[in-house]
Amino acid sequence: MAQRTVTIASSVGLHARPASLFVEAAAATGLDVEIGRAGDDLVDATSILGVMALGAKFGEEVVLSADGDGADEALETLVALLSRDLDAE
Amino acid sequence: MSIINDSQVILDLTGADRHAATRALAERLVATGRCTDLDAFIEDVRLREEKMATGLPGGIGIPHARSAAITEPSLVFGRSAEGIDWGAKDGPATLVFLIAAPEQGGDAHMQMLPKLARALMKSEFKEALAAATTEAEVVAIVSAEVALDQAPAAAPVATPATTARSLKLVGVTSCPTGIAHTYMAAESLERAAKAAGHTMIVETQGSAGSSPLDPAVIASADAVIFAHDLEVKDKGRFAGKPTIDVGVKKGISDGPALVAAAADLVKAWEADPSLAAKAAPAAASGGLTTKVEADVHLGIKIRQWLMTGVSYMIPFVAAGGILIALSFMFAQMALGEQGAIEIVKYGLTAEGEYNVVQNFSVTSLTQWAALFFVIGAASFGFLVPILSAFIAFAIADRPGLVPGLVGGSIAVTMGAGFLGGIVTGFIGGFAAKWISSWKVAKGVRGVMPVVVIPLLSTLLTAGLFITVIGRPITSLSEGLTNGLNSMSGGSAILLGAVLGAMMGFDLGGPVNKVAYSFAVAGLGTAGAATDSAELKIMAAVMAAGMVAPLAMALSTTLRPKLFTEPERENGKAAWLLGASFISEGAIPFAAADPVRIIVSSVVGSSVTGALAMAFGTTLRAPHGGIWVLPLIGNFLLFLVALAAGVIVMATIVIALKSREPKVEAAPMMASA
Repeated sequence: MAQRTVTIASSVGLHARPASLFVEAAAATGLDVEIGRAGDDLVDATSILGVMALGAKFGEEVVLSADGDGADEALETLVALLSRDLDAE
Repeated sequence: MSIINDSQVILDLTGADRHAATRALAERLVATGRCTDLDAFIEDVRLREEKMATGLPGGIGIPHARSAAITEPSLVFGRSAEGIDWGAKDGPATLVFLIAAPEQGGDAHMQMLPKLARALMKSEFKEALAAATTEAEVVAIVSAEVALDQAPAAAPVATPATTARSLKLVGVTSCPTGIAHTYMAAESLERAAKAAGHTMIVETQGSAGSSPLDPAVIASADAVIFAHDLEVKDKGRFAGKPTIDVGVKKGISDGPALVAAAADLVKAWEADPSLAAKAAPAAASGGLTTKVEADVHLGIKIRQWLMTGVSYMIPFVAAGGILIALSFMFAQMALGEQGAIEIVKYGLTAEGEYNVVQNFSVTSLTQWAALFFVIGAASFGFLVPILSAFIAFAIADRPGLVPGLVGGSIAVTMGAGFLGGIVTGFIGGFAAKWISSWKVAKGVRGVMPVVVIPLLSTLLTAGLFITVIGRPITSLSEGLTNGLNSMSGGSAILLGAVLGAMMGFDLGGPVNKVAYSFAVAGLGTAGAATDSAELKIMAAVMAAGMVAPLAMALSTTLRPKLFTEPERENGKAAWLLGASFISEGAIPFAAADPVRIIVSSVVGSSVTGALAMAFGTTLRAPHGGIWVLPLIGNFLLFLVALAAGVIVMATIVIALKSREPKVEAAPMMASA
C-alpha cells in the first residue's frame, strides 16, 4: 500500500474543475486510489462527488493512497497533478 | 440572505441545450436582484463550461462561475424530466444547480460546492428533489444541506466599502387600532436588523400600552427608525439622533431597506458633523419640535394626527357601544317593541321611576338595561372630546390636551358633532403648539405648562369655535346626519359598496381606516332608533372588513396547491382573524401577490358592503366580528351578506391564481 501526502496547489482548492481532472487521472491509473485528510476516512478518488465533498482548500494537505502494481508511480503522477495550479490552466 | 429562495427554483426546466437552460436559470438571479448583468454572467459560466463540462454522474449538472455581475452567493435549482445533456458520460442531467458567487466573494462557492457534493452523495437528497412539488420544498431541502457558514458580507455591490460595523438601533412602531401592524412592523424591523448584523429594540406604541425603552438604551443607540401611523409618544427622547421616519406599512414591507437606510444615515452623520449639530438644539430644548418632522409630507402628518385621535377614541366607542347595544337588547326583552325608546329616558338624575340610582334592583331586567344604557351613554359622551383632545395631543403633546378636551366638549354641546371635534382638535393643537413656542421671561417659563398655555390656548380655541366657527360646522354636521338618515335604497347600497371597497382596498391601511373611522364616528350620533343609517353603515363596514381574511382562509382550504406553505399556514390563522374583524389577516397574501389579492378583495368587500346595506343590517359596536353577532340587527342576513362577499372573493382569487401558475409569483416576490 503506497501513501503520499501532497499540498493542494489549485488556487481555489480542489473544486469542480481541478477535481474532475484529478478524478479522471485517478481513474486512468486503473488502481484503487483513495484521497482524504490525515486522520479522517479516505474516500474513493474516482468519485467526483466524493472528491468535491472533501472541500479541500488551497494550501491544505491531503493524503493519497493506492494499492497494487505500479501504485508508487501512479501516486507520483497524481501528486504532480495536484501540485499544479489546475485552476489557472 | 440565504443562497436560495422560492424564485430561484424552476421545477420544469427546459432548454434546447445546456446554455439555454443556464440562461433560464440565470434569469432568476436577475429577478431576485442578485445578478446585475445577465449576459456578462452567462458568459462567465460558459467560459467555465467550455474549459470542462460540469455534468456529473448521476444526472447532475453544476454550472458555476465567479462573476463581477453577481452581488451575493446564490444557487438556482432547475429540474428537467427528460434531462439536458450536460457533458456527463453516463447521460443527461435531470437536476441542475447553477452556482453563482461574487468575484470578491471570498470562498462562498468553495463552501457551496463541497456541501452540494456531499448532499448529492445521498440518494435521499436527489430523490427528494426529484419528487418535490413546490418551490418552497426545494428551498427547504437544499437549504438544509447547503448553507453558508458565516453571514455573507454586508451591503450589495453599490457600496464598495461595506459597513462591517454592528449598529445599535432603536425604533418606534404604531398604528391606529394598535393590534396588528404595530407588532408586525416591530418584528420585521428587528429581524431585518438582526440579519444585517445590527441589534435593534423597538418600542411598540400599540393599543396594549407601551413599555418605554430604557433611556440608557436610547442614549447609546446609533440611529432611530420610526415606522408609525400615529404621532410618536415622547418623541423628545429620541432627539438628536439620525432618524428614519416612515409609515407603519413600510416598516412591515421594507424592513431591510429601512435598516440599510439607517446605516447609511449613520455614515452620513459621521462624515458631516453639521447634521448632528442641527439636531442637537432640539435635544437640548426638550424635544418639543424637531427638524425631523419638517421632512415628512404634511398630508401624512395630518393623517397621523387624525389617527392618533381616533385610536384613543375607539376604546370609548367599544365600551359604550356594546353596553348600549346590550341595554337595548335587554330593554326590548323586558318592554317589548318600544323598549329602546323607553330606555333612553332612564338616567342617573332623572325623575321618579326613571332614576337608576334610586330604583336599581338586581332582579329587574329593565333596571339592568337602564344601568347599561346609562353607563354606555356616559362613555359615548366622551367620544368627541377625546377625539379632539388627542388630535391636539398628537400635534402639541401634553399642552394640547386642555384646549382639545374643552373645545371638543363645547363642540358636542353645540351639536357640531365629529366635524366640530376634529376642528377643535386641530385648532387646539396648533394653538397650544404656537403658545408653547413663545419666548418668555425665565420666571414665566415655569408656569407656562400649568397656567399660561392651558389658559390662553383654551380661550383661543373655544372662543374661536363658539363665536365664529361653531355654527357653520354645526349646520354642516346636521346636514350630514340628515343626509345619511334620509338616504334611501339605491344610494344606500352604493354607499355600502363604496365603503366596502375602501375596507377591502388596503386591509388596515389608510383608506381602510378612513372608511372605518367614518363608520365609528357615526355611531356617536346614531341616536336611539334601532335602524339609524349610522348603524347600518357600521354593520356594512364591519362585514366588508371581515371578507378578505375569511376569503383567503377559504381559498387556501379549497385549493391548497395554489399557495405556498407559509401561505397555507397563514390561511389557517386567517379564519380566526377574519371572524374577529381583523382585516390584517389577509396582509401576508396581499404582500405576496398584491394585484390579484387586492382586486379580488375590493370586489368581494364591496359586494358584502352593498348587500349589508340592502338588507338593512345594523350594528352598534365598533368592533368584534363574530363575537358581537348577538348585537347585530338582522344577523342572519348579515351572515348572508358576509358569505356572499367571501365566496365572490375566493372564487376570483382561485380563478386568477389558477390561470397563471406560480412562475408569475417571482417578480412579485422580488418587489415585496
